[in-house]
Amino acid sequence: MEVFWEVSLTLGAGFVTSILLFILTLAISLPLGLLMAFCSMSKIKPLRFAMKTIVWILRGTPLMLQIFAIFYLPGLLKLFVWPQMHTGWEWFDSTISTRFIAALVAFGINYAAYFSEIFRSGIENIPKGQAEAGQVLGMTKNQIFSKVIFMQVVKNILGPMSNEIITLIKDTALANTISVYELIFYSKKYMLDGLIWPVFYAGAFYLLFVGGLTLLFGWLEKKLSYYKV
Amino acid sequence: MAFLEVKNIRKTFGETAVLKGIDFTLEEGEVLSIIGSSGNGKTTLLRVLNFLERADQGKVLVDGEVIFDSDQTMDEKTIREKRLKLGMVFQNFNLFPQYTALENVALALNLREEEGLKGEKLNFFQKRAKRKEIKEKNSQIAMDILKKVGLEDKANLYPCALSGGQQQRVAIARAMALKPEILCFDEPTSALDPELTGEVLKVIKELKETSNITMIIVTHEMEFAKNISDKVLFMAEGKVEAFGSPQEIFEESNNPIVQAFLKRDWQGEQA
Ligand SMILES: Nc1ncnc2c1ncn2[C@@H]1O[C@H](COP(=O)(O)OP(=O)(O)OP(=O)(O)O)[C@@H](O)[C@H]1O
Ligand SMILES: [Mg+2]
Repeated sequence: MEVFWEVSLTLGAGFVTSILLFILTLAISLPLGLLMAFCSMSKIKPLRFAMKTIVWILRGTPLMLQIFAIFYLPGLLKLFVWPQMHTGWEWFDSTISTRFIAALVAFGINYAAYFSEIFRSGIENIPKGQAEAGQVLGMTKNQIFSKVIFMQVVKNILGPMSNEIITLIKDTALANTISVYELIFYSKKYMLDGLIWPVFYAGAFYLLFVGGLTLLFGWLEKKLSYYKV
Repeated sequence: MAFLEVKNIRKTFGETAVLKGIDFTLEEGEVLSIIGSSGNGKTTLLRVLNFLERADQGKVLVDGEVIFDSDQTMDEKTIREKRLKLGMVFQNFNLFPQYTALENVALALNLREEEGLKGEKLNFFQKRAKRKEIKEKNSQIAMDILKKVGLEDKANLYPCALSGGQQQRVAIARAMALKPEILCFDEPTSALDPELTGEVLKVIKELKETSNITMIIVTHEMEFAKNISDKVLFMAEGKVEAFGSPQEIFEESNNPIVQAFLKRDWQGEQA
């Protein structure tokens, strides 16, 4: 029983790191993805082309490879080293390590690419007449986007978005490849010590969290079902 | 000087010349119907008048004021001001699905007035109070307009809960809310089931009787055009083929192209 508590506490601490990575990745990749979506729809051809190429690379190579690239390449090429936090708060400093920052950057960019494609198709699927109706009513471009288009896009992309976000929480496990102290990192440690069951126990954490996300997205979908397109 | 002057409007898409020099004038309060067979540039003309396309050449004046001149470039702000002289009702209504009928009508009014708040030095709470005030005032205005199109009891419904005819009436109310001087309709009934066209045409007719608004209506409803119009413009291949009173176009025209069109259309309605 004592072992169970100890494992629970350790895995719990690891999962806090996983969730932190999850939340911060969303905070970066959602706005960045929207920006990238605008770039890939831009009237400026080189910008559009560059963005398509970037998205192609980010979606066309394994995320694990991208994590390695982000973590090791700056040092190898002698460009810069990832910064280290020094707050004096031991848990925080060891959690938000250089490794964590590198993983966060990799996840943020990779997920922004996926999100940008979802945003792009969501925006392009709104009939042209919606923006035109806003125009003839004298609205500005910003007003048209924020008051007319945006909410329709949110409704349209909720399904693909929830899939992607659920995948993200499970993908955070990849951060263990550069030794970020997240959930799988700790359960692997137990495994190397000959204790197998914690790794399956770790699965329950993800399962519970995904259950919560599923409920949340179900609720959102219901909230947005007051109108049909 | 006429109220609306359209001068030598030309528009080319790639290789195809769609408008090949459109000229006409209209007096204040007149209703103009634009007729002609498919693909002749009727929609494009309305879109040019409403700044949804930029004409390659030409001029548009409303009440003596230049609102479009191909020799000038206008910034977005100027265009926004000038385009409000005109309103547009689309073939497919283009209502905003996430807003109720009332909100659809009030939205642009609210946005315009809230924009004015930006210049004022108000704190957060004052701003919020002002916004609320604006919203309430415009809801009342929107409600009054919805009454005019007979939809006050549908004010709080979303477009998806309205019939096509009702949606188009909301779209007309939405355009009217900004008090345009000229209201344009692009085939306002052609996306509707035949039994629903009547209610929309009736609203347009009432608009003519109860207000002094100038209207331009692109339509395939010949009977309606004959009844409501003060002027009829017959378009063929991007040009004004004939222009005159309904009497002159429908009864007295001896232009063979007009005659052929009217005959075919009449037969079409019989079939
Ligand atoms: N954005 C565009 N790009 C290229 N061609 C266009 C564009 N818009 C319209 N056209 C062409 O211009 C011509 C006139 O189109 P328009 O829609 O103005 O005709 P219309 O008289 O309104 O026809 P209908 O009665 O079918 O509505 C058509 O040949 C059409 O293909
Ligand atoms: Mg048309």
